[in-house]
Amino acid sequence: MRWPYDELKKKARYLFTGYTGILVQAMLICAAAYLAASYISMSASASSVIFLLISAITDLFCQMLTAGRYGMMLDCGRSGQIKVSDVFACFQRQPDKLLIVNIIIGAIRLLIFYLADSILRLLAVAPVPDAAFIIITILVYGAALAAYFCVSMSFALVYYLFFDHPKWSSMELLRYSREMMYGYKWQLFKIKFSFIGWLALSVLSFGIGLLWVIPYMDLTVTRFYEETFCSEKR
Amino acid sequence: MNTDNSDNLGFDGNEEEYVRPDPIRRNEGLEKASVILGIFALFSSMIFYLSLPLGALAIITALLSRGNGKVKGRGRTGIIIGTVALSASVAFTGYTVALYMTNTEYRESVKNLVDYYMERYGLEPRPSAEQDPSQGQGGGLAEILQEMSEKAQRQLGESESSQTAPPDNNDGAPVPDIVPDASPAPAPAPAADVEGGIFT
Repeated sequence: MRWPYDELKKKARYLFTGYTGILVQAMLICAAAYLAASYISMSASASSVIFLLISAITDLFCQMLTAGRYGMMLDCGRSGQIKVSDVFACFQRQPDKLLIVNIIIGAIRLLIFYLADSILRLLAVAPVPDAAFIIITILVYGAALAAYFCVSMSFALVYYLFFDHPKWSSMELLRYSREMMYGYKWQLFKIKFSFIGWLALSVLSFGIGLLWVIPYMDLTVTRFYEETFCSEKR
Repeated sequence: MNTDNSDNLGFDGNEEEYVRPDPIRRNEGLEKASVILGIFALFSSMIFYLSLPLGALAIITALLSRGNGKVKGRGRTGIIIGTVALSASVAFTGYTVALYMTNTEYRESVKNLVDYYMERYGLEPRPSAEQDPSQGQGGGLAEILQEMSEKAQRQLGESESSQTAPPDNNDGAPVPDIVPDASPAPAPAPAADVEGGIFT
């Protein structure tokens, strides 16, 4: 039996074997940045506002690195000329545009969970039986999670479009990504979900395996973008 | 999007549209890494926290080393060794836990081992379950570490207080110089019951 998207993954692995060292080094830089960001956020937990502010700033910084990594993934399959310093490419290439995009996406995600939390706070005051409250909590958080995934899938192409269409504004990037992903969200979700076994193995390796698995995953998604949205253009 | 189930033989369904298949590309470095990691995992299969990540990494690297081909040669060896190491590690750990839960002698020997190290580092020996039934199966590693850290903090506090000058006594008497005791603390003598434990 062959798994769906096998060809896509095969092409991603083909590229991965050619650029393993550079991709893993780039991932290592991102992982180090994420670890440092989480350490800074945790150590500055004096008040919730400061914590939120520092978390947002560090997260934005890490998102810039992630966007740089996505650019590397695109170049892997195109020019083939990539280097580790490409991770920092977004700091030189219209960083304001990417910052606005990341702030909007982050705000939407935050709003989803804030709404879910507010609903549950209102219900906690109301005279609701315990069993019903548990069920409602599960349903509300399930809905919030589904909405979160929906938003993530809708804006999954933003970084690719940022590199392919440098003249587009932040709002255009968001709008076109949402429009292009219309009808493809479930497909992308299935592609990402097919890596569940790899992620389980990475958990067993205490997260070290993610250094290899995440670039492979991102390369597969990049191939999905290239073959779904770029093949006609070429 | 080309995600159909046909084999990648070079034809995309239509003979006129010949698609050049990608040449098979493997990563020999990852293959070697998978075998080495697998061997390390196998030899350390008694150490759960070492063997588990090494075995998982061996499998990950072996699977990624195949490129767009199939897993062959050293990659396959890496997967096999990694899987065996993971299974052995889980089996050893499961067996040890089961033995601890069921075998009283083994449990006692583990307790003796813990007591030995507690005596060695000058900690209070823990009363056994027979002596103090409220203690249950004895303390965990966290409690032992907490006791050790408390003792270290106490010692640090004592040494700091001995090095700092004492407060003024306001009676005009000269304050004697405090010479910190540089001699190391005498090692605690091993208890008699520890001597009769598993190390004799």
